[in-house]
Amino acid sequence: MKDLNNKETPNIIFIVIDALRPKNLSMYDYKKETDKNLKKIAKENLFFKDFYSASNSTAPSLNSIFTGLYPPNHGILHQFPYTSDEEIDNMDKQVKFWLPSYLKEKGYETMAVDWIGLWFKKGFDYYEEKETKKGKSFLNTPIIKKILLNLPAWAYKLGKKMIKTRSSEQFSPAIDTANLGISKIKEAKKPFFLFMHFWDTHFPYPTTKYKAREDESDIEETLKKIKENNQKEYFKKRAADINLNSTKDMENKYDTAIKNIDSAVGKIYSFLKNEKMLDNTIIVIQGDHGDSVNEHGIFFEHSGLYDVSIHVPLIVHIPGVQPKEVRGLAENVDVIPTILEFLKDNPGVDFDGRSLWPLINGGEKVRDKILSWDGLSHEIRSIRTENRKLIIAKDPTCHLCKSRHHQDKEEYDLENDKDELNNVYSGESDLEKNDVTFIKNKDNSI
Amino acid sequence: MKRAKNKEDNKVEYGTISLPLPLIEKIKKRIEGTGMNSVSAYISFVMREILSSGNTGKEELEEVRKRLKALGY
Repeated sequence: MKDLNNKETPNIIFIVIDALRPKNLSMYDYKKETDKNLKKIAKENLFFKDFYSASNSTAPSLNSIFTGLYPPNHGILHQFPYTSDEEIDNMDKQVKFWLPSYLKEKGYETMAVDWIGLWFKKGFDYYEEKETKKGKSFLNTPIIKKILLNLPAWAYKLGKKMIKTRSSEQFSPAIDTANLGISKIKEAKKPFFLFMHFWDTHFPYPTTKYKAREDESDIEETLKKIKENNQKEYFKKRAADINLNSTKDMENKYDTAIKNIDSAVGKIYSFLKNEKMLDNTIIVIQGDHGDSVNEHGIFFEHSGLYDVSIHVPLIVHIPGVQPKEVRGLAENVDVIPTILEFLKDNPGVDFDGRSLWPLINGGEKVRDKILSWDGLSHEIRSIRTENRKLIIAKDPTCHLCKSRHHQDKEEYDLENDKDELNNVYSGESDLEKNDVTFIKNKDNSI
Repeated sequence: MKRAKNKEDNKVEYGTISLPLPLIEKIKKRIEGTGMNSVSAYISFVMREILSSGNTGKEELEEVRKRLKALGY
């Protein structure tokens, strides 16, 4: 391996764990220890307990992570495939800073282990989910080509389709993602930026082996709790996809998926430790959004802007910085300004995010509110302070289940109602008065 | 493309490609004073930029859509 221990130019690793909610992690007081390694890493580093995502879905959230901007400012408001062409055009026009491209220009080798592709490939020298075999692909070997070309057209098409369908259904398990990440670190010839995206925790957890433990089905009981027919139909499909008859089993499977990722991330961290690379590597481990397991009548979806869908874990390793449990509001747009301040680098652009160093060093607040946008509905946004939350649903129809998860306006007193069960909105809210620019709709109505 | 034989495992292999001479001349003029020391270096740079520019092919897009569908989208 090349000696990368040049303190002037640290390596940077971003690990994003999909749909990982703190509620199912023991380091946030969950009853089961799903996170043995993550907990250990959190204890040795900066562990943020009040960290939120600017979106409840992957595409807008990843864009916020890579730009330091809120969804309206980076353009991507909705999860792909609900992203409009206009949003993509807006992104092209509005985004002046894209972390992978910026680091590449600075001389970093940029590598990603993910399959989402799309515009997220921009700026990466390497972008793969699986190790690509060197040499010719199976379909291009002369003997296979000869056989295929001699088949009737219909058989040729069918054969190719079968091979494609099979590959698309194969998601990489966490341990493969980790191993590929480690092999890319070993191959790196200069300081690197490595982005790794673990998807195992996204319903229906296709990479996770799990045997049902519950004898009785509660599907009918769960369907009774769902008010709208569209959502009932969607839940039936999802239950069929996961092939489990009990929501307890579904959550247990989620916990098993977390454990698998926990082991994989533990392996990467141990590797870096053993190779003595922690002194010269920044590591950011975060969730892109949360998930609603059974809260608020939403079952195994991350729709809506309740805390279960936007509260996410954040662990940061910065060389030379003492471990600390950090309390105080922080948001995923804040990560880039924080890293850049550590690197003493100023790209000369405006971020929506703020450096978290005052919070880390002295517990000084860096933000008094979290702003979030729902990437799975037509138009919902929220303002969350430490003890209050306002959700404004202009058009709350969910793209996934075609039902509504929010009323037009909801307000929660988080000090006395942290589970957001009692809507106390009474026709007006201090949050509306104090933050008119944020809550205004496109037509300037409130 | 002709591939050069490689003695060391870790060494990057290089090959030759053909470009029209007038194009090579244009590139030489383009890279004057830029610090880019050869036409090959410039072409490699441009190709790397294109390949990592985030352009997604139709088949690849279809594959992403299938996977997202499997996840409930």
